[in-house]
Amino acid sequence: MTRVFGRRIYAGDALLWVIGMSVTLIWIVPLVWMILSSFKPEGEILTKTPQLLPSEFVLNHYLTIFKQPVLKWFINSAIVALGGTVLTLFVSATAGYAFARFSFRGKHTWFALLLATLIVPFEVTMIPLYLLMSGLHLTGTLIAMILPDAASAVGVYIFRNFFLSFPRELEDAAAMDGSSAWGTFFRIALPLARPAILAVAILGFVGLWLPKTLSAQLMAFKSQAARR
Amino acid sequence: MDSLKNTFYYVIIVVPAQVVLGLVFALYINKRLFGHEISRMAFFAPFVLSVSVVGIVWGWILETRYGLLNLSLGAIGLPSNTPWLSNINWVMIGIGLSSLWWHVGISMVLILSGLQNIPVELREAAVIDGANPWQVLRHVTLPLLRPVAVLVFILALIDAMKVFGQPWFMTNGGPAGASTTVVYDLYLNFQSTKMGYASAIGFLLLVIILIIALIRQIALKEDLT
Repeated sequence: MTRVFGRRIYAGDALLWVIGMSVTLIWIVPLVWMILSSFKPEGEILTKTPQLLPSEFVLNHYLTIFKQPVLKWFINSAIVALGGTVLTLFVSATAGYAFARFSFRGKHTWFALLLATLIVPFEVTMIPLYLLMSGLHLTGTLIAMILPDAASAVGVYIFRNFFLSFPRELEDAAAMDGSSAWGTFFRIALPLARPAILAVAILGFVGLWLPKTLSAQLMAFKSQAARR
Repeated sequence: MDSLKNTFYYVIIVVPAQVVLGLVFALYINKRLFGHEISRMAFFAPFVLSVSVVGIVWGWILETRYGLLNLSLGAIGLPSNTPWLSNINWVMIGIGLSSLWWHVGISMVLILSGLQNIPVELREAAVIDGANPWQVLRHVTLPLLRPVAVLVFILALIDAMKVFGQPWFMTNGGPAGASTTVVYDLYLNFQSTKMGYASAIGFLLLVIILIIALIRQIALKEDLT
């Protein structure tokens, strides 16, 4: 045990720290390398003696990106992500509220079924989904990329659990004052559900914004409308 | 079915490594040494990348002659001619390395949350009773971590069963079909409009994943008793 700047440093911890920091560095290398490679001239990316820093900073690659209709792609992504998030929020909030507050026949069975969809991988539903979209004449449109994500089991689950822990008296008071079920939901329950809304919105937006290789492939299949 | 065999091979390589490395990283971060916030961010950062980025970057890194990995191995005197992506026996290990880099962060975060739920008093009591750090880990921390570990293991397993993007971007299922996984096979048949065969693969995958989920249910039930 030695003292550095008045703090006790154990030899074991110091060794652990060195190893930990080395692994951290290794973990960062691919990321840093990717970013620096984007500034390298074409011939320098794969060389016998790899240079971490480019010999000269080249902006060519970025110019090439902007020569393509990048703005159009960006707008496509934004429409899908924003539209999908709003739709997911609406469906999840209403469904979650219904599961938490109303009693109807087979409620628990329906909820269990909904949660069961979480373990079904997207790849399994891909083909039925494609046939469904093609039956609706929606292949190659952005709507086809938004609709499948509108029903989010995770979203419904988050909203249901939130509303279950929500004081019922507030809604009862609104009902006493003559508010309808919809009115209570939109004016009382939803404005107070901000944590749940944020959680579902962030999850939904990230999921929809990241390039979804499969769904993009699926929807572009046989029709090129979404790319133009 | 070759694609099923390839996928199981990949699962056996990746899943244990991802869980064990996630546990090691989480234990390191939980020691809260100087700069552990930086390490935590670095380990988790790759997880937010999309599979296309991971596939392209690791395609460069694993290149046999000029790839960063082989050049680095050569620089420290290790064999530097491993054909990571162009040999039937190595291709899944190469893809596995990229997956490990990409997904170990989520295992780490889940295990870390499990670690932080273990009351400090339990470990303190063990130390007072004279247990050394290894005994505390082996007889206090790890047993209490079991429910989280089962969850992490099952999530990693389901994830690995569904591997698709990495072979798609890095190897196109090759060489000689050695990295054609179940979902990649499904995709190929879907592309050549053999819908019936593709649907059958999809259903088979669902059955396998349902069985895994069922095993998890049983494993966790056992924990309650």
